[in-house]
Amino acid sequence: MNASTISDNAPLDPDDELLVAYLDGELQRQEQSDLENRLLTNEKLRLRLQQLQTGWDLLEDLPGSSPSMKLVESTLELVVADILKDQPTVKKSRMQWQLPVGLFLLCLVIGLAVYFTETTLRSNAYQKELKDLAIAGNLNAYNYGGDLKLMRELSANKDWAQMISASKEIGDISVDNAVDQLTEAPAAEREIALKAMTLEQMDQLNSRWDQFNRLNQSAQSRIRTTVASIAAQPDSQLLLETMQVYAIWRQTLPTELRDQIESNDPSKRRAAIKQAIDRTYFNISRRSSMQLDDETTDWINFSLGVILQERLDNGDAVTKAFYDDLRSLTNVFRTAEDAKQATIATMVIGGSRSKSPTITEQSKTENSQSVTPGNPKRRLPSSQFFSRLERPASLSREELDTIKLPLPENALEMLGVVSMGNPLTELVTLRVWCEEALRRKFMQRFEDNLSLEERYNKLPSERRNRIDLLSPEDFLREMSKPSRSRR
Amino acid sequence: MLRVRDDDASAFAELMQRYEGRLVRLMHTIGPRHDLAEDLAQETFMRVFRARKTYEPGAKFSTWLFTIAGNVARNAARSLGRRKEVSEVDAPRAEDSPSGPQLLAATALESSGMMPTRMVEGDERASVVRAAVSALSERQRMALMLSRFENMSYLEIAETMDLTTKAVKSLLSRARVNLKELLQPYIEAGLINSEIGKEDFEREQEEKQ
Repeated sequence: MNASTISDNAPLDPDDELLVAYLDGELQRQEQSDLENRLLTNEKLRLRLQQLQTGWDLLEDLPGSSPSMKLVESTLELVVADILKDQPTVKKSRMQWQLPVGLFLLCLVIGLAVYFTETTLRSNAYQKELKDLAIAGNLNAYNYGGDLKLMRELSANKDWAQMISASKEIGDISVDNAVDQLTEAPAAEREIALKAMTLEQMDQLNSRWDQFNRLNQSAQSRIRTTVASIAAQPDSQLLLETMQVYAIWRQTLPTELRDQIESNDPSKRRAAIKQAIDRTYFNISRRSSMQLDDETTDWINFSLGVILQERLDNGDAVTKAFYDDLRSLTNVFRTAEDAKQATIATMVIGGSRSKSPTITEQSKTENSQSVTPGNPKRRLPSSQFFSRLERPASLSREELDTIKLPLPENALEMLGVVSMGNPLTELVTLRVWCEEALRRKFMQRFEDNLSLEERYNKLPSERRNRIDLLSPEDFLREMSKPSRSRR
Repeated sequence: MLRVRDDDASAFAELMQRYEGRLVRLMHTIGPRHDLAEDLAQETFMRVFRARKTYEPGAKFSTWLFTIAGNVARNAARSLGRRKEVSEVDAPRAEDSPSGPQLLAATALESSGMMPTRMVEGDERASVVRAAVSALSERQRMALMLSRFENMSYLEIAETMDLTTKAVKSLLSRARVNLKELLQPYIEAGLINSEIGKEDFEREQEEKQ
């Protein structure tokens, strides 16, 4: 019987397939209609359909299965057992590696977060310090040069620019290039600029850094704002350079003059700037005179002697009368040379007095010294005596030109640098140089041939204490003075 | 099933209650042995539960369930077949329960006059039908059951059995022709009432018309 069944691959009668599909309701409407027409006429086909349907219907006799709660319960028990069996294993196996790995990862993440945070904070703090360091390097500039209007006025002032140029040449003003490089370098390159500094520059920068850090927060904040404001200007570089120079220059000026320069009154400001420039030029001249070599001063003294002789020979009555009067004071001016030197000093210093009150003030001491060389026991002429005398005219422009002509090349070069081509400045400078030449000549006359150290050691302790407090320049001047004690 | 996928045990219990009877009946038909029907149904449910996370909401659950059931039944038949081969080498097969064809043969013997003629009724008729169904190939049985008891269309059966609809159509045709051929002698001998279901058939025809 089994052999008579149709296997899955055996051919099938198309009508059987059609009838089954009809019974299953899987025929298209047209197919169904065609088949039904055939069924009406074909009894054999109708019988086959009936037999197929009978077999189908008999399947109803297959025993059904009533719901079995026992099966459901036992299956659920198996499901639960399955879950319980899996869960601990999963949990245990997970716990075995998840806990330590999780902890490790957590530690790693925290560690990395801390590291990166710290690195970032350090880096930020370091970058901020580098930024502030550049500010600190120009602290005075930002502190005193915040008035951009004044800075622009100064940078546009030709006289001021010439004066600053001369000051730089003579060494009165020097802007630290290292600080400049630090300021101008991008933040990333500031570290390199810092490393390139010399120890001296580092010391100076360190001092300014301390100064900046001593400022309170609001002052620091104000300076940072100024820095940002200047950086935003189109001429920021020129402004900063002007500020740097101004900060140094203003320190050489008296407080009153500084206040006038920094005032809001334009006319007062302009006048003060002019006065300050004149004053600075005089200081430059003074400074340049200190740098004169002996050859130059010898030439100047020689020229001064020639000028006096020319005046005497040419019948300059005032000069001759003055010289004769001094010559008559034989207890003071023992030789004709002494009287000539005193007359020359009067020509030089007197002329200077008329030109510049500052020169006069500076020379007062030297004036008195210049007329009181020699034996301390000698009685000095009274002030009434000098006031009675008509003084010789100060050195004229032509006479100063005469002094200039024989000067060595290096001296002429320095004169050009100091005066920056300004004839008036050149004349003032030559007068100052004459003073210096005279001073050195007198100094030579009373030179004790001792070294500075020997002189210093010979000084009384009170005087030594006083000298110790002087600046190096004043110290040298003081030690170079022909004093009575040394004489 | 979506609730089951989310580990809802009560939903799974509901699902089992709904499909348990139908699944056991299917397993009686397509399984290798009747006494394994419940075990195979249980195994099917367990597989469904274990595979719950892979269930895709778009798929019809019954299609998925009967696909798994078909696999479980096939695996069981294969496994029993291997064991049978081993046991046949060692010992003669015990005839505890008659197979479908054997039952049909025995019933035919009765109908041939060697046994007292009587009308097959109740459980016996069911046994004859079951024997006839058992004589079909596994795939024919499966398709027949899905069509007859699950009211699945050719398309749904094709999806469940991973076949084309054309193959399903052929399979079902062969199954029904075979069934007719197997049962027709009993009907003609009057052992089985051929009128059974006739009224239903006529009613269906009327409805179609």
